[in-house]
Amino acid sequence: MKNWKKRLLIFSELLIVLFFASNNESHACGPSYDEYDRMYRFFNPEVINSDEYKPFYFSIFDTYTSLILDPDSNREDNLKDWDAFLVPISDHYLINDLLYTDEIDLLKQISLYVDSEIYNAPYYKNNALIEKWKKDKNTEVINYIIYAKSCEPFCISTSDRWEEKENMDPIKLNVLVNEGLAAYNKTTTSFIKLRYAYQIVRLYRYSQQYDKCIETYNNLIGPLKTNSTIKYWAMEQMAGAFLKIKQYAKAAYYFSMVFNNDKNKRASSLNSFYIPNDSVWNECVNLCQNKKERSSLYFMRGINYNSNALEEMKEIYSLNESSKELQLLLVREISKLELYIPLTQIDSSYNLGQSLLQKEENMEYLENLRVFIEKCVSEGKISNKQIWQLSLAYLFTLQENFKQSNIVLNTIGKQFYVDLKFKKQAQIISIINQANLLDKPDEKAMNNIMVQYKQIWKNKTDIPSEFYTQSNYRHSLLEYILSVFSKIYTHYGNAEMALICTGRYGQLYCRPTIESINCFEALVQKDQKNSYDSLLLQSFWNNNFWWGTNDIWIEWNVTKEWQSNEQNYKNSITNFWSNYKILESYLKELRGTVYLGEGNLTNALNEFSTVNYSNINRNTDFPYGEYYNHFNLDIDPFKGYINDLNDTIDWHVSNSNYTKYTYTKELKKLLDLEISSSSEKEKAITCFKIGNAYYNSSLFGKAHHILYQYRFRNYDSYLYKEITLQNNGFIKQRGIRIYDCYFKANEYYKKALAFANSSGNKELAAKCCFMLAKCEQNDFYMSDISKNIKYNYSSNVSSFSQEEIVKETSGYRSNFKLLKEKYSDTQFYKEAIKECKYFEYYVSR
Amino acid sequence: MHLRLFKFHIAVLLFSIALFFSSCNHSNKHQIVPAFYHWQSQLNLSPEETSYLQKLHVQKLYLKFFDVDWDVDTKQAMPLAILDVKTKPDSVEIIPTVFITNRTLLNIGDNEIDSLSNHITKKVNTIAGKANISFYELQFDCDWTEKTREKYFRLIKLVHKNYTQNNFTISATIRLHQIKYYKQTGVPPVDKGMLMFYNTGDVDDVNTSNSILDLETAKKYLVNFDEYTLPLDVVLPVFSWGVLYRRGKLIQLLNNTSANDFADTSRFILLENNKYRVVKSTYYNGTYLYSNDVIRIESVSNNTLEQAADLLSKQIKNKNITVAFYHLHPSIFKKYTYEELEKALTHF
Repeated sequence: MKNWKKRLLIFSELLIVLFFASNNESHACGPSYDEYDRMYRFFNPEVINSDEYKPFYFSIFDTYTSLILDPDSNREDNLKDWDAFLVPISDHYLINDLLYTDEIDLLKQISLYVDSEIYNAPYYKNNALIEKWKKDKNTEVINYIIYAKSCEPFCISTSDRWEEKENMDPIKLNVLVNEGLAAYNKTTTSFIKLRYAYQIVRLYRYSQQYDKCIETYNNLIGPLKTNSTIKYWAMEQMAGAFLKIKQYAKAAYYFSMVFNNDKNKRASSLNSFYIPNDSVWNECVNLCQNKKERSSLYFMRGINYNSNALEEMKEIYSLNESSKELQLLLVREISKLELYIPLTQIDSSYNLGQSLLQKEENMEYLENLRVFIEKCVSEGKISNKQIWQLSLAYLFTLQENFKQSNIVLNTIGKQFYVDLKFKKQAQIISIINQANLLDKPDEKAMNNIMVQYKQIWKNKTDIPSEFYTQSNYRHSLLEYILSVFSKIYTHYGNAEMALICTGRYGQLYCRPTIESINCFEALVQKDQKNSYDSLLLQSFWNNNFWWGTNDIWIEWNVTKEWQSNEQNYKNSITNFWSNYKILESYLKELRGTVYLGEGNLTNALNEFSTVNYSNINRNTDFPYGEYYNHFNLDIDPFKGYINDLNDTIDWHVSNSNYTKYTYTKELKKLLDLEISSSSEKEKAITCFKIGNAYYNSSLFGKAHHILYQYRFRNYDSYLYKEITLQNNGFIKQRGIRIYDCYFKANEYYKKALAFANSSGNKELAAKCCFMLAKCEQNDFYMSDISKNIKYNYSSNVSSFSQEEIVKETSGYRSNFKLLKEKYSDTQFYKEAIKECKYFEYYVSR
Repeated sequence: MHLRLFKFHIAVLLFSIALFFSSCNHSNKHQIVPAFYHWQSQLNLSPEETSYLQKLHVQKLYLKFFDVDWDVDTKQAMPLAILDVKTKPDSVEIIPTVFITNRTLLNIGDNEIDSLSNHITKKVNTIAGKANISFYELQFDCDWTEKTREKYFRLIKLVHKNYTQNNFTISATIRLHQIKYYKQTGVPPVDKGMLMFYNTGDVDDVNTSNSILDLETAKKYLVNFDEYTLPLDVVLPVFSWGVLYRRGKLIQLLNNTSANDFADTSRFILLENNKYRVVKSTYYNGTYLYSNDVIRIESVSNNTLEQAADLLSKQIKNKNITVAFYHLHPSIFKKYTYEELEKALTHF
């Protein structure tokens, strides 16, 4: 106790530790999770087999977003048009190069070659299409491409938005427009006419001449009877012009037309679809020519990320019951609901305050959606009825009406199970239902579910969709099923199996029970492991890697990474089994520690005596070597120390001759001696040593890590969340585990003091007195008063002055008083003053 | 003679006493420079706005030049919402401001910070040059985190290097938590900070009463000002918004809303104080509101502004403070007269 600040620092750390050890969980200080870390996804939107709409599947991952903007898809559509136009001598690659790669100078050379006898087109020598153009003296195509290239600089916004965009030269623009108009009028081919018109529309749009843009579209493109991709590219330009001049209804209407007719322009047209108010919406609806167009408006509104699309689904259904778009909205709504429905929440206790309201409202929404689907199924007018039935089954599952879900699943015709995605989705819903319908821990039924689970993922080729791989789906389903099993075990009081179902291997090392260690060991040693046993152990082990001891967040991410690396996963399993001998010793040490903590020294000795850590490389052989082995002790635990915990102790370095085994052996010997001895002098020394053994192994002692695993870890409220919430006995036990050694130490020091006094050993009595004073000091640390003391680490300043602390501790100084009054003539008294600042201060007052 | 001397001494004494009390009176007062933020992408102040600024003696206008956001397609930092200057206000100093999203810094590579600093410098200079704006200060706005701190601070340093003029100032916006936890979040390498005294409540929570400025919450963050090394200016909120919740979840912030917008009882009903429920699905300023959505209207009262000013005044150490209001928009004129904002300024 040389430095009271240092002591205060340690004390503050202790308070922090005790705070975390308390049962009040604070999420504010915990790790932050992303939404996808908190939810399961069991419904695959790809089950509707509608690739056309795939980019618009709801996803909080990046799974589908990359499909939205694929620059090559527009190009391919255009090239297909060109191929169709140029048959029979089409040349896909040539047209691609001419349109998208070649420089304008080269095109001019080709044009010259086609139109005259001059040969100057070395790049395309003997190309059949060019030769055909030459033979026909047909420069129409090549000249259009040259024109399009001339327009490009005016119409393509620079991709580098850091650069300033050049203003369009109005004279050049005028020349280009006139040139285009002349060519439009000259050509008799509507394919080429359309393209010239598109270029002019585009020129007007980019030069912000919006009225002319609209006028040109209406005059030049309107009369052309075509459904070409280019028509919708031009229409998008016109819609953009309407938006700029704030004719919102027309803009939205034309964007919806583009959305309907050009799948590659869906993302951009959806992005530009803007309705400022109800009257614009009504106007837009009135512009629609038919039900399909009207239905599309509702679809575009319903596809919004945060929509309540049930409203739009009902509108679409009233317009066109068999709309394919309805299916997309259906699977999107299910995916969205998975974010908030209790069944799909990985940790429903997290963020509880806010989700309560969400839960009620989302469940209501879920019910409304289910009723609507039921109506659609019963009316039978929707297309792909089996998808709706499957969805209905899943909604019943989300409502935790598992029996009804199974009934719906059974109504689906077996012929639909030919589709792999459909089949797997139905299987997944079925095993979720089966797991939840178990009413007691029935290992045969559990194994049956696991056999089905393994069947789903039998081969890699069985994974019919990226949905399953991109969201770590496989692991999530197993994790979920085991969590259901865990709840069943907990309900039936089997906390050990409950832990193995939902826990991590590392949890065995945090305040274990003999039963949980034995349960795990029995599972490991089981000869004939069935599917359930294997998956259970793999899951328990797979959650194992806990790097460092500070932050569960690290572990979470490591686990995620781990799951994605199959080879690492396999290696970890191999490592696990091959190191069983080491594991055996770890479990023995663990069991011995629990017995020691419980005071069952005979059993503890039995376990410790066969622990064998020879030839272990703790860095590589077993991941818990560094963090969990405290078999060897740093100090002599039977000595009394003036100073307590100090920050120079390395908890993982062993440099004393004592091990847990020899410590327990010696402690047992002393306890026996205390009973058998008749000498007060001997009893005094024995009791003092026992007191020291307990004190040093207590939370405050230098060898506190003897019972490290037994006692607590500061974050075990996270680890034992499931168990602690449901097992009050455990929590009660925790309190005893923290302080029991300390209380015992107190008891033995008092005995030792009495025997020392009666046997005239004043030096020992002084030591006992001092150790009891330390206990009093610790009592103060655990008192309410001490909780008000705040310490600022950065400035080394306490909210209480030293004087205030002395005042507050005055009620905890009876043994200092005794030491001062009765033992001031001892050698130890002088030593204590020298070493302990508290005592020095007390004496000097 | 004696009498005259006596009178002289009395006069000197009275003057000294007056001077003493006068200096005592002002010892805690700051020198204030009133300012405003302009956060829209077109600068075209109306006569009403110009007059408002003049009456309030606004000397500085923090003008957002552009945002820098991460473009997921091109995987590059890109400028967005680039300012279009139609008319430039006279007689106020313009401070170009650049808002950088945190995700930009999360995604950008370490080796790209250099070129980003040059892009930003060039873009700021181009916009200023086109609009004939001379500037002596550049401000960065970014809600950086521990993960992005290093890149952000390096970016600031690099941009600063590009402005070699004497006395050129680089400033950065500072959030309250960045002062309380300055050891963890770091202090940006700038000449001064602009403390944003708003967004103090939990906007995600439907039960929050006012997320723009909750003084009780804000008070908990008013620590470590004496240790914070940067001189601080202050920005106070004079904006309003509607916070839209759907099924209990925050969906969107509806800018510049007021209770009047929800007066139509066929579409909205008042739930309590500042909360409305949508009873019939409807469009509102381009956002489709579904039946049962909840909207909380938030703004800051004059009284709260004055209390905020009082609180801050006690915390800020530097004598000279620019006190800015966020942000200039026609909707504020009805809510705050210039006299009311002036009154808030007197609390510093």
